Amino acid sequence: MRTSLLRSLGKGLGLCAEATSSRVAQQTMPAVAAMSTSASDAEPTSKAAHYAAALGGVMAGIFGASCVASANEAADGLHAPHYPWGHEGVLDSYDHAAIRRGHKVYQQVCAACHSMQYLHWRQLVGVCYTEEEAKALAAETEVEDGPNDEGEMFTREGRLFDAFPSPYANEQAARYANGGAYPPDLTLISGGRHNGPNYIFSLLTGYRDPPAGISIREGLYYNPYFPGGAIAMPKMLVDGGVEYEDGTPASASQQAKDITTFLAWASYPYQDEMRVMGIKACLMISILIGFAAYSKRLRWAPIKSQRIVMDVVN
Amino acid sequence: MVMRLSEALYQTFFKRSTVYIPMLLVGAYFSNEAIDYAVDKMWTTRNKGKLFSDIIAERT
Repeated sequence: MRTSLLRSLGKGLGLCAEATSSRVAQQTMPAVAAMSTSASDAEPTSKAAHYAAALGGVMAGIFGASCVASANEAADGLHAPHYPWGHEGVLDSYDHAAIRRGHKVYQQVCAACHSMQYLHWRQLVGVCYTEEEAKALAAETEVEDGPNDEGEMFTREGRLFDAFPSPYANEQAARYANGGAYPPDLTLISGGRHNGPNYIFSLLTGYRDPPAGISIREGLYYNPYFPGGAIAMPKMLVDGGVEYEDGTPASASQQAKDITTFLAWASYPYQDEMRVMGIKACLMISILIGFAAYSKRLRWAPIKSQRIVMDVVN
Repeated sequence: MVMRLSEALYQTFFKRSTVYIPMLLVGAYFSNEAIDYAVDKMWTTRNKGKLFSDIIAERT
């Protein structure tokens, strides 16, 4: 019975595979058919066999849809590979040393064009800098404040409660300075882009010569991971471009890894606390569910073990 | 009289609600502390070297 169902699955898969000309479905079809060729073809088509054939058709449809022709790849951007980030698992924390290095990369490489106006210096305290270090870093920046008692705006040193300084006053100034392209704010970029950390890492390390037949206009650069393939940002990370104070060798991919971790943290700074609280909550709740179930069954026991007698009244 | 463990538990903690309910309240407080300690311990052991306390200790 099972082998003939498999044969029906294969038939459904094969029919629909030819219709969609899907590579994956066509590769699967001979394998499924091979599994069932040894069985005899004695049974007439049963209802279960119809369902199996339909399931084969659905599977072929799913395979077909997942192997869309690569004409869309340039428009959507090359799919970024999955990297084993150290903060992926539910029991894993961010690498705070990488956050610290990543902030240095942001300051020295990215802050010239990209703002992070929703991040404040105080958020770095206890994450990658001590309070004194964060205060010192903030004090190196200038902030416009005011008006003072004379009605004038003045500049002062940055304090912990200030936001990160923006390189441009507004979006128009940013566009004007960058040939019409706006370098986006990076505070939430990791959450705001599909497959954020993998995409950002691939983008930063993915600069290469365009393939034959593709030409990029002056002022843009080829990057297959960027939707459309032509990005206004040049390759910014080079080996040794930043010097790390903890002595880590600063290859381009190391810098990319650190800046991606920093941006992932900036987009979701409370991830570590949420994970710890979530684990504690799940443990406590499962214990409480156990007691609730026991108490319910204890109190319902008399009712569940009742004997109900229907007496016929004459 | 030899009692099974479940029978012993029932007779001491679950039979009378005047014992059951205070047991839940006291048990909730202490199990909360125990879970806090256990999960924090697991987190810091599993993520050794990555946490802020570790990188500050490394620098000094």
